[in-house]
Amino acid sequence: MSNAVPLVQYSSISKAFGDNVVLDGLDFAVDEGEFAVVFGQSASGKSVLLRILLGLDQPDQGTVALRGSDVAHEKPGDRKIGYVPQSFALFPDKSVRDNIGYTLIVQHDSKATIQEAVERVAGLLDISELLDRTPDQLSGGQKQRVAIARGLALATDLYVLDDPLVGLDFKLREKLVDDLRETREALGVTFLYATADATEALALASQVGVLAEGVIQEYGPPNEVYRRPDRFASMHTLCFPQSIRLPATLTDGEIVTPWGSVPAAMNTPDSKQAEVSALVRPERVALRSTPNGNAIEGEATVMLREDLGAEEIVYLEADGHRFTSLVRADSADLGQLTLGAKIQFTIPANAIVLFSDGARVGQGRS
Amino acid sequence: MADIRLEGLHKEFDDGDVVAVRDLNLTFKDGTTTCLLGPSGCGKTTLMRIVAGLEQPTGGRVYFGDKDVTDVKTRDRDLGMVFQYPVVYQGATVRENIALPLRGEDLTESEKNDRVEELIGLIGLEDVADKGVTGLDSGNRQKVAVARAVARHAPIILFDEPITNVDPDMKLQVKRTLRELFTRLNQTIIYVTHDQTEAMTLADEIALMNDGAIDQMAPPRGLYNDSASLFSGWFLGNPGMDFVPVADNSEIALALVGRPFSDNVATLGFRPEFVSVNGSDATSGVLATVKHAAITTGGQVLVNLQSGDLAVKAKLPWDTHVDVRPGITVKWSVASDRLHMFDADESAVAMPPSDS
Repeated sequence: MSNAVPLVQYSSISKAFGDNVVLDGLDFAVDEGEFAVVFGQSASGKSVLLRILLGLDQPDQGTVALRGSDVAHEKPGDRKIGYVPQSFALFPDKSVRDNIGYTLIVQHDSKATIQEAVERVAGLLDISELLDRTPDQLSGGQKQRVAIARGLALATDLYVLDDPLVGLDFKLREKLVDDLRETREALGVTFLYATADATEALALASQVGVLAEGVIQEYGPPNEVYRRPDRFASMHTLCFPQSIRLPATLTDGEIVTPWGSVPAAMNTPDSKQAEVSALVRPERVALRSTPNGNAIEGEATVMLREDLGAEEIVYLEADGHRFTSLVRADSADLGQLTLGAKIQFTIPANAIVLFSDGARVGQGRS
Repeated sequence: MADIRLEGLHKEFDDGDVVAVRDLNLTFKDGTTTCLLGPSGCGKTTLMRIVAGLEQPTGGRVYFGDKDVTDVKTRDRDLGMVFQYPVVYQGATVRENIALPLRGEDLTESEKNDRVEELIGLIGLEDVADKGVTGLDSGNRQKVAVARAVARHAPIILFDEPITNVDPDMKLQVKRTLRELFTRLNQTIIYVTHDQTEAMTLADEIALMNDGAIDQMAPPRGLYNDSASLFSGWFLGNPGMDFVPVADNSEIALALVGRPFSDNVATLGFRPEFVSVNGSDATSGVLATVKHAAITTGGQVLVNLQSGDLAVKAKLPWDTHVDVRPGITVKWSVASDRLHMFDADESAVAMPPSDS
């Protein structure tokens, strides 16, 4: 497997719009059969990355190889990529059937081919009974399914989906996330999918890449990237709620915070002093004072409780610093939390991860 | 003083082709913040517009306290309103904007000033009080609109998705402002939203709407913990409740409940966070194959399980040690006090007391 040629290979891609450098020497390879998700915050360059592959934008530098060969001189229509754009518009005067088959109609496929393709993807996305309607007779979620089906109608091995669920209410997203994953499995093809939603990225991806500062910061199975992030951007943003930044310095091998110090375990043992950023996941911030081993402990004021049903996000402020804790709703810790109340919090040492220049350099030692 | 009572309220559009509100009876209690929550198209905005007098009902009556206001014009209903897009006077400062609704009120100048200053403090607009509203970010602009709506101390304040169009990084601050405001105000507040987290966070009571009717009305935790219907169980939660149709899964249903139960129970329901997953060597539980597992909110692990034709989702704690790689066989179970029962009409039926 390791010597197989990647289906998509970006090499040293740079792209700027005026002074705004969007992609900065980016390397990225997607293997066949993956559900590859590019995760990045808004304006991180996700759409540009996808559009360069599709041939809709040209890189300033670098090359894109598709199925093993450079596509610099291949027109968008010749690249054989199914595409679901971020903002889709359905043709209001055409039936759902013709909307889904549009790409095939334009390239003059036979009627039988078009009909078969349309019915196949409509079946996958559970919209077979809508084929003879027009878009104004559809709900928002049904329209989104039609747009996805249109992107999938082209029979090929690679599909590019640019944040197709953005703006949908979340009961609908819940359903479509499962549908998209199962659709890709059923087709046995490769998806390259962009999103700014961490939960969506983690739910869909077989491999997730974190795009920040113009490069893919790291790329791997979502489980591994989540549990052991190597890059600041991954740990900070590829999670919901976002990781909290702890005000901390590394001094004589100790992580020093306003709420006490814990020993650091550094990747390079002699680095006892460095400019570091410290991150902690909200689920590691316990709302009680029961340290087990090394930990920092302090007092915080409850600013707001956001109730997600199964969990609560508790927003805290301590000595002018704001941070969050994520607690399961059945936890006994939530009992006493009135707004404005002062509570004890504990962060175990091994929950504190240190980064320097964007790279993981160590963590607290428990 | 100002209960809002709806009696047999009905609203149709397009000569009855679309029924937005169905013969609805409902009381919004005095001094309470009630969120009207439901999916798009459920009728919640139409219902609020009828309360505001912006829409006439096809049938039924609207009472404020004892007064029938069904035929009273909006401007004579004595209410404040906050919309998706903030209504502010562009040429004026924040302070002037908040003072404007007080112009015709029977208050002395110093009383008016006190009221404006109190609101500026309460809503957190101190830093921008003398700035023009035009330069404000979307969060502060909506805060000004909120201050204007509550300035006159009208007994009823209506909010229509006030956070939906606020910039993402300002949403939390506006939410916090509203939360504090709602605990201090003793007005009757109706707040329309499609966002369950917003409703769960801000409401005293949630009126869950579906297809023009109130599906369930309860305080937030009550709504989440004691679903009155399949719809309520499905709509609340991310993901919503797992369901086991009893007729197609009689053995699994019996294993879950642990003893025979009434045959008017058509469906069992339970929340994914209360599904325990153990290895296949566990002494009890329902056998399943792991189809998929993914990290979700707060590092929890959302597992898609398949037991025959039945699909079940389990949400495991972030520090779980259970092996849930796809393809692995596991056993899952649900504590009996976390089970819900629903009849063929999709309504909750009480769980019979346990024998043990």
